[in-house]
Amino acid sequence: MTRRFAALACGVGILLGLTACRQEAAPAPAAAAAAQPRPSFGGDFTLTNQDNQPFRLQDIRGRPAFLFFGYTSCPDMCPVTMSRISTALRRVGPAAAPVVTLFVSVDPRRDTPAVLKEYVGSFSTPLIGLTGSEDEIRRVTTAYHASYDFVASGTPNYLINHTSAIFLIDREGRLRQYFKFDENPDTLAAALGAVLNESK
Amino acid sequence: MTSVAACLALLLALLPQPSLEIHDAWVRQTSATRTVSSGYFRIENRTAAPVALVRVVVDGARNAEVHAVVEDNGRTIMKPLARLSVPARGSVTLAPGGTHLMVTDVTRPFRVGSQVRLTLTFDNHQTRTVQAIVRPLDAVSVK
Repeated sequence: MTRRFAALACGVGILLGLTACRQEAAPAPAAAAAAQPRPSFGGDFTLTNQDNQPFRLQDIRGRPAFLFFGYTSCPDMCPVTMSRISTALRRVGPAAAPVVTLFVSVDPRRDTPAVLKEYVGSFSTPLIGLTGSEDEIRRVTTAYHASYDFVASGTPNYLINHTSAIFLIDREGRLRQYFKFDENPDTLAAALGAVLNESK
Repeated sequence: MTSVAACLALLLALLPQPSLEIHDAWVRQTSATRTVSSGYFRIENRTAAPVALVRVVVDGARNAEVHAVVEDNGRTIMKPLARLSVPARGSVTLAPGGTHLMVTDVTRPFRVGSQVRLTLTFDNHQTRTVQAIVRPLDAVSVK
């Protein structure tokens, strides 16, 4: 890892560490999105998808979304998160067809659109991979009260500690709830079902 | 009578001794661009003494270490474990979302359906070799 990269990573960690202090309380198990107070953060953003095309959250208005942060070299947590989301979508069934799953990489140095394309293609559930510049990604993570920092390892396969929550976004692009990465898929499905049942 | 006892002792010595066994080993697939995997298995310690896993070598990868998953200020982070203790007559399971084997610098892609050899070394100097099946990226178990 270069000194510049380490300094940048450290800066990001400090900045988002402060942001994390303003986070709302950790999510309680949810019965349904409609019964939960809506988080006051989140919002629209623009990044680049795995086809190297601009992606704006507003582009999918009218379709609910699951969003999570990670990186393609994440050995365990990110695949587990994706499998939880996939299971929840299967539980909801055909009604989940409009739902979009968004994977926002916090590792733009390695996760180019081409790498993301290979990664999202490895999952059986359709997934949009998103990347951007360091600044763009920092803006999104800050907006969602997420944080990340790089763990120096001395090899190209460095780890990244990052917020592991699953964010549920409604048809209007508003953050509705967030969950732990290993949340019970039934809980995810119930919350998603409530959002899907809202008027289109 | 003495000869009967001697025969019994000999028979007992010939029977398989309680030992360490590795079950349900699997690893996640990798690709040309993603050279990191994770491994999972269950260690069953049938001996009367606790043991600790101190080293894992994964064929086709330069590094492997056991990581615990811990909560840290609202985030979930990985923490390397130098030793993974297995209680006497007990077991420990490495599973997705929990303690797992992190495999880095994979030098040849782990393809779904193939097998990868893991060599586990314990602090009592015993080693166990097991073939781990390669599962898809979003798999959650060995099957």
